[in-house]
Amino acid sequence: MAQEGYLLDIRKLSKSFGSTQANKEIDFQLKCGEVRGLAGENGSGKSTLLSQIAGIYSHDSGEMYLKGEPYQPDSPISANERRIAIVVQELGLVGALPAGINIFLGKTKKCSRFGMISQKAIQREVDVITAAWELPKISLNTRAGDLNIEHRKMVELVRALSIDPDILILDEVTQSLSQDNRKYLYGLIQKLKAQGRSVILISHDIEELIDITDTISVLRDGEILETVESAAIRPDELKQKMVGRKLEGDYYRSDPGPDHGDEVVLEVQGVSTESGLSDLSFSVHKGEILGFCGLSDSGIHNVGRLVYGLERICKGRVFLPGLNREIRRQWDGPKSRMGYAPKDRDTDALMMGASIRDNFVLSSLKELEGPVGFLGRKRLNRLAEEAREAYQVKCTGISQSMSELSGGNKQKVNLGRWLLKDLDLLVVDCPTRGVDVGVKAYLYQCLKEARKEGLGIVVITDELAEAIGMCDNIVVMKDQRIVKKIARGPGFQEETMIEVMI
Amino acid sequence: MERGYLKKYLISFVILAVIIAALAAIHIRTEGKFLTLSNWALIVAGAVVPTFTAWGLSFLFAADITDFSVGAVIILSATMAGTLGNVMGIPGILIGGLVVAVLLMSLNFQIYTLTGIPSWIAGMGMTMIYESVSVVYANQRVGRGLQVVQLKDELRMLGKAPGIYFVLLAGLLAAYFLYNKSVVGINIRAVGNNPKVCRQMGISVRKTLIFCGLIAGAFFGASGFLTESYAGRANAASGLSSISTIFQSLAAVLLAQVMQKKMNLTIAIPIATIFIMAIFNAQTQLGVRSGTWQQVVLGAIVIIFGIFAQRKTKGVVK
Amino acid sequence: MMRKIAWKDLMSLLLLLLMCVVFGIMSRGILFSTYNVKNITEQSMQVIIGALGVIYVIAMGSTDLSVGGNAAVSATIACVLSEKFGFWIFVPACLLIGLTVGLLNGLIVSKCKVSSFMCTLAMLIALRGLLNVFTTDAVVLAPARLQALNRFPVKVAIVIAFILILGYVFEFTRFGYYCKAMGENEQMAIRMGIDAVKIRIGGFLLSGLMASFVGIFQLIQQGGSSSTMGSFMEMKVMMAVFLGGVMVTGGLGTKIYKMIIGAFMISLIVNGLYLGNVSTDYLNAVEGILLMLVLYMTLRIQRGRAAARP
Repeated sequence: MAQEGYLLDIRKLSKSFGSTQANKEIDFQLKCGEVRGLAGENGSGKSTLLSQIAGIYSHDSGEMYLKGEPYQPDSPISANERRIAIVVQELGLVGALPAGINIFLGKTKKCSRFGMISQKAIQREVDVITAAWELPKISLNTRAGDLNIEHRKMVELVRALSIDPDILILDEVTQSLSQDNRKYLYGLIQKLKAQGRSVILISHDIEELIDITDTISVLRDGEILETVESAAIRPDELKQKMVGRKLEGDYYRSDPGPDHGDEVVLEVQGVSTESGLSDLSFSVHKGEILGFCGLSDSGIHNVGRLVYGLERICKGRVFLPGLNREIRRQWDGPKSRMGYAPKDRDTDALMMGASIRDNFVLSSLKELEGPVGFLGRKRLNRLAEEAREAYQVKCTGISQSMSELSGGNKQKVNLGRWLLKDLDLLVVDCPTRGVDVGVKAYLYQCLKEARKEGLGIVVITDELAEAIGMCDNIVVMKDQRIVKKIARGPGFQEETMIEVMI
Repeated sequence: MERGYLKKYLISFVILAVIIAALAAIHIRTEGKFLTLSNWALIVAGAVVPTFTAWGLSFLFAADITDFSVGAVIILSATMAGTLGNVMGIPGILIGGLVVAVLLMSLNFQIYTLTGIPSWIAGMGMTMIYESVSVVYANQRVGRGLQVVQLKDELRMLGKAPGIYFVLLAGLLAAYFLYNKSVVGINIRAVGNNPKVCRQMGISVRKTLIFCGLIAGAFFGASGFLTESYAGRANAASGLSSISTIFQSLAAVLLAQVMQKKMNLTIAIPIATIFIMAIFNAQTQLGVRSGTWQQVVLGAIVIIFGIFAQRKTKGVVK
Repeated sequence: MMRKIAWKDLMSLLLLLLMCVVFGIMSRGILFSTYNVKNITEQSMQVIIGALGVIYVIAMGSTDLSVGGNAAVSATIACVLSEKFGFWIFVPACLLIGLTVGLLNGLIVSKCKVSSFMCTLAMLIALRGLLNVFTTDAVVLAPARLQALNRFPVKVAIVIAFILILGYVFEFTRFGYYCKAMGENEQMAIRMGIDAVKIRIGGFLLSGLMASFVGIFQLIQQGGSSSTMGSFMEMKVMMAVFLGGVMVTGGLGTKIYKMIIGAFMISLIVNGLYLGNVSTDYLNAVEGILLMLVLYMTLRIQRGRAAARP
């Protein structure tokens, strides 16, 4: 069945997580010696595709052929045995162990004798690899957890190269490397190519992507739109293709300019934090939706934590003029007519083992208290029942367990329990992450209504279309700093933002 | 930078000065009985059993497992070492001690991995069971008119100088290589630190944990036969009191974790144990009765070293 | 769904009834004699008082093993003090010592991030040592006036009052709710604005306070203190909570009534095995096996629920 001449041939590959389909019937062919780039917005399914090739996820349907033979990896190890290696986007090292041991963890046969690992053998093996691919020396005795992100990435790269891969997959590796190490990486890619090996990579730096790849596949909404020759495309053309989608109907706002009250709800003045945010200044008005956009490591998610008091502030201040109150510590946010819906819904925001009722009422317990601090079951049930109806949570009843709900309905609870309260400010981090289109539209509707009633909303998102469709003003961040503030109006487009983001 | 270094030196200097001053003070108070060669030989010999227990515990902690049934395991393995030793001589002591501890520890690890009960509470349940077994065995012997297992004097060479020092050295070598150099040891530490990444790297978490049970069991078995050789007998314990028998070792592991920045953990353990045994030796010399204030100090030491070992921890601790 | 939950919650009650029948037959009815029922109730009451405090700690996913030691030490020192300064000091001293131990536990666990298991276990060892300091050389007798309380109805009334007050706080107030929410998901609790440090210290304080009440009850019953006073109480209390079907990780499934059922179960087991002429040597082993079995079963039920998710 497999066509001759392709190193990797993928037919109709599909993968879904719950109700969201991350990859839809993907066809993908890779030649020997080809360097392929993947381009697409966040959530377009690039990482999912690579993870399936590397054996981290299994696919739902479809076939893969490697060198003409069926290929069905059930783990990264079995992918390694077929000589496919990946450097993942998040960190893939054991922090407590030295870097050198991390390189060979799980495949220690090469450098151990009688079950004992030899430091010398590790050094020798690593020297061979770094010499062969002309990479810089890396320190092998430092604990991986103590290395900075750039060095950790280099260690992971050496680990990937140690299996002598035919296909090397790099998922957003360059963004954490300095200029010097990037040059080494480019050299490495050229060498792999010269030896007839192939590379698949994701990078948010469009110019870089065009420079170092032979071909680029553009993904959108889980499908491969087209595959183009890198030499024949200009950066702005590629960006156009990536974004492409028209903003549909009343899914998003259509009013031309910003529209909010004058009263300032939140004032952030020259704040730097321990986590690295530096010199942030912005303000949120009554009835304003302020968006924060940027790459995932640009610091946008920490802005939400900062506003809510979860970050350690080194300099500057976060001030709430309406209450005449400063946010300094962990408990200041929650006590200040403010709500926060974190990005990692299941681990940080909800009690998965508890009922829908308990999740709904937890934010309003203080308001529900009767005499002697009495929290009556009836009162809790009534609130939860009302909230369930108001936010159209699909469930068998308020006593159903949270873990049985779909992503969209979980998010309705997560946002709903704040929206039902009388607040001044709500911070939402990736409000539509892992939520299907129908619920997305509904959540936008909810946020828009809340805004009309005068709630100030900070939306942190990695989907540009979402920010453009909702916000009055957008703050673009890069490298833990604010690089641009854009108000609704002309220039409120994805292209202008992508330019400053990268 | 300069000031940082100065501060570090100053701190180590102060710590050293305090220790020396304390040693001298105790020496004077005990009328010159504390800082003698024979006393320190006694301290070191007494530290051997807790050191082996501490090595075993360090493997458990490396795999992120808290199981305090080891106190009861050691008692059972000592009893078996004594019983077999009296029949078969030295080989019997070794086999009895090691086999029982290894078997029981593997049983424990099978129970955690199969049932998914958190190790600390499962360990409590196992403690109750093992203690009960040891009491039943002891009472049955007494009932039959026999004594509680008592190892014959001529078989106790492993527990006396110079034998005990050789055993300590052998244990140190084994612990050092297993913990730092062996593939199994490295995998245990990796699994304890980040099981998710380990699975991706192709390490079998279950298999590694069972190996951890075997290694830790071997060390506890060594503690068992050494207890029997050193003390001649191991008393059955009930009502969770076996847990307090491993508290000196626990304190030593926690102290060693603090010392880890400066030296290897497996080497830090015997030093920490000797230090802790010296504290108790000094108390005895000063006339503090064991089981009273000594036990209070023991609890306090565990908490204090626990605080030091945890001081950089962030996030949720239950 | 509703039916499934009801069945699951009833299970521990059914188990209790089954035990009654089995032990009743084994003891040829002696189990149900007035004297014996009174005896079981007396034992259960001590466990219930201790568990009423510890349940707050368990609800947040922590544990407190210092209960038995705390009970013995606070009661013993209070006895010693009341001999010197008069009876009036007995109750305040006892409660104050209990609270101090609780405060220490709470501070060390929440501020210094030592795991509660390790910290309270070390505390238990230290407290037992302290108990030995007072009891090895001297006989410590309970103040005579305390004996006025040694009447069954009085004790029952006190326990019921405790159940009502602490049960109310646990089930129907914000503090109780927050404790349970921390057990469900502490990261979430912090983001919800729950002051996890304060709540945790509060839980340990309550646990320490109730431990000192356990001490008073034991003193009344035994008339004096000894080096074995309160021993194994911590395990009995924990087992009462877990036997009732509470998860080790705490959370919103933690309920007072479950603990009360569990307390009767543990007393019944001890009493039943005793009446059935089973040697006390085996008692710990039986308890240990039972503990593991029940924990495994609650875990399985929980997992079954998690597996049902789409």
